[in-house]
Amino acid sequence: MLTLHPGRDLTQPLSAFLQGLNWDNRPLTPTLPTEDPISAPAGMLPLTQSVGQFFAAFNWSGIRPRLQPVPELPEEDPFTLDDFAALFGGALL
Amino acid sequence: MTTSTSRPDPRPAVTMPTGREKHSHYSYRDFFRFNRDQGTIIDWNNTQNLLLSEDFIVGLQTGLEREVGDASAAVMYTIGMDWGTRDSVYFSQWYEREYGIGVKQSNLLFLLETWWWPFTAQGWGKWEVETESKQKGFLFINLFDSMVARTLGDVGKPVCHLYAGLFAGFFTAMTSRELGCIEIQCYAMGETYCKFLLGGQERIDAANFWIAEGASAREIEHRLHQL
Repeated sequence: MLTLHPGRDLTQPLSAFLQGLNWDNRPLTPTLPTEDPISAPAGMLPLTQSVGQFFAAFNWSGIRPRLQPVPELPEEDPFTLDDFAALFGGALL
Repeated sequence: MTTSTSRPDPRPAVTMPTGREKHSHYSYRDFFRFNRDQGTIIDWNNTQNLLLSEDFIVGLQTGLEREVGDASAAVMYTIGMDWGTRDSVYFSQWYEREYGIGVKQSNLLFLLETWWWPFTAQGWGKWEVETESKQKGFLFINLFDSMVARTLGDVGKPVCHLYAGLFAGFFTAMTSRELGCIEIQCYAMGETYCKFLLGGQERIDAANFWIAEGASAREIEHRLHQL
């Protein structure tokens, strides 16, 4: 849910909050979507972005994007009790 | 603590704990079920446990030596062997019940760790199976914190004959091969941990001969690799 002051944390101390305000009315630098959009709370998305950037920042699929390929699991060692027993040689009891 | 594989029990059946679907059950409260009314300690695998002091181990060892002298080692080995043989049957049953897969189809190392885990929980010590030599038809088992050796202290000779028998009996039954086991290094000889050799009888006999000659575990290991 978006707050009345997008991008502003209303739980911070008053001095910090006031220092963070854009007193000089300088143009804000658009914020690019983070590398991991799922970690950005929806209420913190800056409304100064372009519409495309803003909606691209939503994790629509619900699946966390992978930054690295999935590592391949090593094949399971097929070594079993029978394989082990065969190493000792000799006749079966 | 020591256990004996369960036999038909005339007492009322103990209800299994909830959460049987989890396999990581080796916390103290998960693994043991203390029943004060019945005076029993039943573990996760429905085996009855007994709490014993170190005095019991000392008494058993001393009493046996007084009764049969040097043959006490062979007696303890035989007891262990019988225990291991019986336990292999019981283990196969609970393993299949717990994991839904037969012991023959399982990954060997997982199978072995699963077998020894309850022993660790019961105070028999931790183990490490060295499988590097398996292609040569033998392997080493390292045992840390042996219950017997820790209790008897530095007596200058191997004392873990019960463990050697247990390993021999279990592996013989599981592999259907006649295997023996001998302790080639013991905490009771001033070493930091115990080391067992498991293999065919000819290798065990050779190791026994080298030990009598005063060979160290490292020398025995070296000679076995040269065979």
